[in-house]
Amino acid sequence: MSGRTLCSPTMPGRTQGSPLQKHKKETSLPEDQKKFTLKELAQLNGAGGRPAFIAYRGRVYDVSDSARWAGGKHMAAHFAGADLTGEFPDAPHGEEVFAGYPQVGVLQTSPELPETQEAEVSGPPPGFLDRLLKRFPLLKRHPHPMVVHFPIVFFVSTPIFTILYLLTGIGSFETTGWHCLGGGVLFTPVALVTGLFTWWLNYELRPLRPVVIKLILTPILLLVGAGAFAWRWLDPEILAQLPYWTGKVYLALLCVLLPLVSLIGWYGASLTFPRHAEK
Amino acid sequence: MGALEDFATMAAKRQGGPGPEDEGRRRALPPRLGVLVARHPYLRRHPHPAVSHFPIVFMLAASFFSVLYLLTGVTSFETTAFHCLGGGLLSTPAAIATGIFTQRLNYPQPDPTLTLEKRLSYLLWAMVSGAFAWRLLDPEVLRHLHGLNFFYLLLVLALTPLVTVISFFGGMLTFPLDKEE
Repeated sequence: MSGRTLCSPTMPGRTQGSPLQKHKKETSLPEDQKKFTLKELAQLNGAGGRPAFIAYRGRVYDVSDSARWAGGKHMAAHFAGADLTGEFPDAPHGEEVFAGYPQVGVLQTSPELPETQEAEVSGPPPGFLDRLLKRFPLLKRHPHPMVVHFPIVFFVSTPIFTILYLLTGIGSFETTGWHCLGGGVLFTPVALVTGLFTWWLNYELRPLRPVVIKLILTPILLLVGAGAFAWRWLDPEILAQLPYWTGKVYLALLCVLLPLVSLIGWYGASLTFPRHAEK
Repeated sequence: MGALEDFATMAAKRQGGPGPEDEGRRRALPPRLGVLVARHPYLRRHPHPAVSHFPIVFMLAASFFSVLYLLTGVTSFETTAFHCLGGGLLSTPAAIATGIFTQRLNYPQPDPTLTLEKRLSYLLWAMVSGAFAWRLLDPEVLRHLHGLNFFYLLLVLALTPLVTVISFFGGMLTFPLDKEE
């Protein structure tokens, strides 16, 4: 069976390259296209000489001729014979990549977003922002991953230096822990803002599980970090009160930063390097 | 061919993206390591990005706290800068090791960018080692900023552009810029 004889291929219109323009693309599907069920699509996975078809937002594309889809696999992370709509947000490229492939049909159980739902999630970016991002494409995805380095390392370092102080008795380790705490508190709002921007720009504010978890945990992290920082500022000898509950609570606050920031970092990494792609 | 091909080819060139020809090299992993990676798939890509956070921030923080000390005169900032140098000294080899592991596992094709990144990382480690040893042997080096001691400050400040360049290359591997245009 040849995938290319199933129907006459059509070329979907280019979306001008910007993922921002997802909002502007057409949402209706051609009616005269062959309809594939997910079961039928699963058979066309590029294995054993079969054609390699992929589905995206209700459209089915033939990627059999692509060297990068050899054997039905793309970048050892995505597999033909499947609907890749859910995996697409992880891709570092935009929808324009589909323009180079013949559309051979539509998916019967189309997960394509209805127009109304799409319009609800977020509007097109303001003109000045669009121009800025075209001029500096680095700003699309990089600011958040760049900024999050700081709260992660500072909040991990805080309990480490504090425990180092408790183990060695060297007071400067405690001070360094406090300075790291300050760094974490300063950078967390910046990370939060860049994260919200990235979410809006690249994920259309969709309530993805990792994002929702990060949105819940980050304010808690900020609250705990800022509270501990202020406490240590007001009472520089707080750790000397370790035999008392106040010192223990302060130490517990510092130690809780580690699992909190690790969880947030873990879910952030799951967006960049999705687990399903590693299997 | 199409845009997908162009992007994929660029990515393959830059990322050394695994193609069918790389499968053999993947299988060449030591058996125990292969089993471990198969059991814990996140070990395939996560260790290097996770570990490399530390040298990046420690190097930048060492420069920043040194400048903060010079501006404010608060000596604890200088001590924090020294501790950050220590953090950078310890975490850089871990980042290099996980980077080499990631490269062998995921990007086995020779890539000039990765080679440059690796060489710059060795240079970074040499510089942070030198600065740490200097400060360890002469705790007053930044407090008496004259003559040869001025080079200590330059050394610490030079960590910032160097680690920025290295992390820029790393960032381009994860989020290739040509795919954003």
